[in-house]
Amino acid sequence: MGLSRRDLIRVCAIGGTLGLTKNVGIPFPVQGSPLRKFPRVPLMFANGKPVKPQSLKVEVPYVFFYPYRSTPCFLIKLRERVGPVSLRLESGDIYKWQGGIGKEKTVVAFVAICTHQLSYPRRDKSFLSYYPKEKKSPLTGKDEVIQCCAHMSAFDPKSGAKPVEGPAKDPLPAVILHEDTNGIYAEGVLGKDIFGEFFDLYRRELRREFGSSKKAKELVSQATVVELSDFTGNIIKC
Amino acid sequence: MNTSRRDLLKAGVGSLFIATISSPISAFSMMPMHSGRMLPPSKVPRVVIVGGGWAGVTAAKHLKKELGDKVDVVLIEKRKIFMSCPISNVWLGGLVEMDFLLHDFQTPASKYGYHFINATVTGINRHKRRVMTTEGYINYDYLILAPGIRYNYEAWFGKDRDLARLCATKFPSAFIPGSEHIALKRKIENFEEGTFVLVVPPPPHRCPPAPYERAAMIAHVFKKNGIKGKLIILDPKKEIKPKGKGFGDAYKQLYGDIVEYVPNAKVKAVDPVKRVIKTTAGDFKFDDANLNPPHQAGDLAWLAGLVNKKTGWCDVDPLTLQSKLDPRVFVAGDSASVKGFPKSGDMAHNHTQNMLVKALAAIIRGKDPYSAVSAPTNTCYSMVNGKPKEAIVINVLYSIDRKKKAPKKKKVNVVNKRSSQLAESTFEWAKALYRDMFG
Ligand SMILES: Cc1cc2nc3c(=O)[nH]c(=O)nc-3n(C[C@H](O)[C@H](O)[C@H](O)COP(=O)(O)OP(=O)(O)OC[C@H]3O[C@@H](n4cnc5c(N)ncnc54)[C@H](O)[C@@H]3O)c2cc1C
Repeated sequence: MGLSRRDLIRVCAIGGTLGLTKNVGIPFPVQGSPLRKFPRVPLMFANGKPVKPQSLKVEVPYVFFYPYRSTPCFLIKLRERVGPVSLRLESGDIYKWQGGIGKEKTVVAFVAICTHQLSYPRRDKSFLSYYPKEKKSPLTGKDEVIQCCAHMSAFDPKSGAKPVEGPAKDPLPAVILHEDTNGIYAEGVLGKDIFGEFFDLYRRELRREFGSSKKAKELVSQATVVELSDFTGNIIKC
Repeated sequence: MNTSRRDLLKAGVGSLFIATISSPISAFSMMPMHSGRMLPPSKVPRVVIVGGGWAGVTAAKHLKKELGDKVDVVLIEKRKIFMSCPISNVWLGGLVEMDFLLHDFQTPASKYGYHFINATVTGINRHKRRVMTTEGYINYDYLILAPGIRYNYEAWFGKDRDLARLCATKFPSAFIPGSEHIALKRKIENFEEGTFVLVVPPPPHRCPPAPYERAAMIAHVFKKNGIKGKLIILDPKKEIKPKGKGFGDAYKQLYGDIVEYVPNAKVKAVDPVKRVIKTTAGDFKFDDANLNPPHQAGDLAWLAGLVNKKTGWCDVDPLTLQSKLDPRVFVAGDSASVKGFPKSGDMAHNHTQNMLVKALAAIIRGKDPYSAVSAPTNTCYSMVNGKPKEAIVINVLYSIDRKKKAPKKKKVNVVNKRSSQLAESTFEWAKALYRDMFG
C-alpha cells in the first residue's frame, strides 16, 4: 500500500486545486472521487443523548447505521491519536483520510462491511469485530485490528482501516465524522463504493429484514450508537 | 380424419416427418448432430472457459467485471446444476441441507453478461483455436481450461477398466460432486457394524484436509447412530497434514473408540470384490468403504494435450496460470500445478481472480501481465464435530517474488483448537464465495 513520491505529488496537486472545505477534517477527494457526501446526521446513544468523544469507552467497538438504515458502521475510540493517512484503492485511486476526531483525535468510524466478500454485523451474529491491544486474534496473532472471520482479512483502524492481512485489497470505507460542541456527526463516506454491490448481493436478506430493497436503502436522519456486544449476542472471533 | 402412412407418402411429406411419427427410435437416429458453429463470431476478443466449477465460474464473472464489453466470455459446462464439493462433508455429516450446496448457472451468466452453454466438451483443437462440444463448436482467442480432476483408477487396476468401474460403483470416491456423494451418504447412514475404511489419496490431491474432515463427519454419524464399528483411515503420508493436531485431537477426544488412524499406508492393491486393501502398513479387510484413488488433472486437460505426463497435472506459469505449452491457454483450478498452492475451492477462486484474470485482462489490454497479478490467500475450514458443530481452520498467505516470477508462502495461520465460532465461520466462508460466484 505504500505511496510513491509521484503518487503523493499527484494527491497534493489535485487536493490543492480542489481546496479544502472549511469543515474541519473533510478530506479532499482525488481520481474517481472516493468521497460521497451524505446528509449530516447526529450520532446518538439509545437513551437519546448525543455521542461525544469523552462518552465512548476506549477500544470498544460500537455499531451504528449510516448512511442507509441497513449499512452498518463501526465507531471506535482508539488508544492513541490517529493522524491523517493517504490510502490507495485496488483501482489505483488514492485518497486522504482525516484521521481521528475529538480533542485527542482518537475517534474513528468505518463502514463495517468487509471489502473482500461483504460480510457485515447482523443481529444474530457478527463475523467482524475489533481486537483490542493485547487481545490478539488467535489466528492472525494481530491486535488493534478490525478482523473478518469469514476469510480472515484484517484492517488497521489507525491507518484508515487499510488491509494489513488476508484477501481484502481495499480499506474499509471511512465514515467522515465531524465534531462540534453538541456532539459527533456523520456526513459522508470515503473509500471504495461498496453499497451497490452490498444491496445487490444481500437483496434477499435485506428484504427479509426491512420489507423491501427500497426500504433498506432509506437514508437515516439520525444514527443510534450501540456497543457491538449489545447489538449482537454472538460476536465471532478467530 | 384418418391419414394413413401411404397417404402421407403420396402427399410428398418429407421422410423425416414420416419417421418421426412411425418410429421414434429411427427418428432419433436421424436427428441432426449439433456440429455447427455456436454463437456468431465476436468483435472483441473471445475467451472460452471450459468447466464451470469453482475456477470456471469465478473466471467468467471476474473477466467480465474486469473488462466489461471489451471481452466476450463463454462458459461451457456439462452439468445441469452446480454442486459444491466444499461443505459436502458437512452435508454428509447431516449438518446442512443439500440446498446449501446447489447453485444455478443461469443467474450469474445473465447478471454478469457472459454466455453460458450447457454442453460437454468433446474435443479441443488448439491449432485452430476451436472447442468442439455436443452442441456444436466455438472458436476462441483465449481458452481457460478449468476441468477439475479425474480419478486415476489405473494406478490401482492398470488397464482393467471393468474392475475400476466396479470399484467406482461399489465404493464411490465422491471427490467429484454429484451422484457419488449421495451414494456415499446412504452408505454411511446404512452402516450398522463392522469395519469401514477410508483411503486418503496420495498428494497432491484435491483438498488436502478433505479426507480427514470426511472421516470426522463419518465418525460423527456412527457415534450418533450408536454404531459398533471402526472407521479406519489409511493414509499414505506419515502424519495427518494439514491441521494434524486439530484432526488428531478430534479423533481421540470425540471418536476415540471409532476412529483408527493408520499412517504410512500406501496402497499396493485393492480388491473391491473380496473387500481387501493391501498397503505398506498391512492388509485391511473391510465391510464398507470410501475408496479414494489418486487424482490427476481433469480429462479435458488430457484431451487438450496440456498435461505433464510425469506429474499428471498441467505445467503453468506460476503467476499468470498460462499454460507452459500454449500461450493461448490458461489453466485454472485443480488441474494447474503451482508449487505451494493447494488444490482447493478457495485457492481456485483466489488464484483465478487475483492472478489468471488479472493477467489475461492485462494481455487483452496490451499491458504487462506480471505487474497486474497480486498474491492470493487460501483459507480452509474443516468441520470436526457435529454435536455441537465445531471446526478448525488454516489460512495461508502468499507473497509474490517479482524477481523469480513466482508466488511464495509468507505466513501460515492455523487454529487447531476446535470451536463453535469457527463452525459458524465455515458457513459464512462458503456463503460469501457462493454469493461472489453466483450473484
Ligand atoms: C469432499 C470435498 C471437500 C472439499 N472441501 C473444500 C473446502 O472446504 N474448501 C475448499 O476450498 N475446497 C474444498 N474442496 C476442494 C474443491 O472442491 C476443489 O478444489 C474445487 O472444486 C476446484 O475447482 P475446479 O474449478 O478446478 O474444479 P471443479 O469445481 O470440479 O470444476 C470442474 C468443472 O468442469 C466440468 N467439466 C469437466 N469436464 C468437462 C467437459 N468435458 N465438458 C464440460 N464441462 C466439463 C465439470 O463438470 C465441473 O463442473 C473439497 C473437495 C472435496 C472433494
